[in-house]
Amino acid sequence: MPVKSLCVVVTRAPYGREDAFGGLRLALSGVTHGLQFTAVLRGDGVWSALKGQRAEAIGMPSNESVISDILEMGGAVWAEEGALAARGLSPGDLVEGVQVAPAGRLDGVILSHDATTPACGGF
Amino acid sequence: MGELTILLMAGTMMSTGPYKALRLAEAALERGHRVNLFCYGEGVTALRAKQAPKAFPNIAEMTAALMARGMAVAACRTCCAARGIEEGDVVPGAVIGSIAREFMDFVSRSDRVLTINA
Repeated sequence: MPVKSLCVVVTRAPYGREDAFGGLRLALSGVTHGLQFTAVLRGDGVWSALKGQRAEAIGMPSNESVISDILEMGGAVWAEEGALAARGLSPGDLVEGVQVAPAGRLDGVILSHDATTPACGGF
Repeated sequence: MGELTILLMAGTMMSTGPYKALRLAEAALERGHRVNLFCYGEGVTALRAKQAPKAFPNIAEMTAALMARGMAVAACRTCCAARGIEEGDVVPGAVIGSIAREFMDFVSRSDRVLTINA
């Protein structure tokens, strides 16, 4: 059966490495293409959903903008509740529309897709 | 028979990821499956045609050999441009394309998508 849905799991913080931006860009392209693409932010990956990023200050493309675009195109973005709390963040700190759930529920979100792409690097 | 898409995000000499990806592709081809390889991010360096590692496997030669057996190969154009990789730099027959076109086409017809990023 052909793959109809894909979940991109981002575990790296933005701007230090390419992984987070690359993973989110992949999700945006999928959503734009009309497939069911979802981004799940876990661990340091939740930083990508923080409101008010000023990526232009370091001459980088904005992960916040990519997340806003995914949501605008009808895609879903989830952030791990425990990862937010561990970093002193709350749901109100995130881009509007990002859904927050505990780890166990996110496992279910990931497993509900036909395929998973971990955008978490290897080093 | 099924169809497998491998999303390769690991660079050619940064790890054994590309080697593993191609060994998996080879195994799938041997079993009669169709295989697509899409190179993304640092993974596009796996397609550089003039790689000449002295001790490690030559990823470009492995890729070319698998393409001769039917593996379809494409790479993200933006990722290539970011690394100064142009059409003439990659393994002949590999397409420098886009996520929106080649990758989505691969995904939409595949039974499995496997990501290798390390």
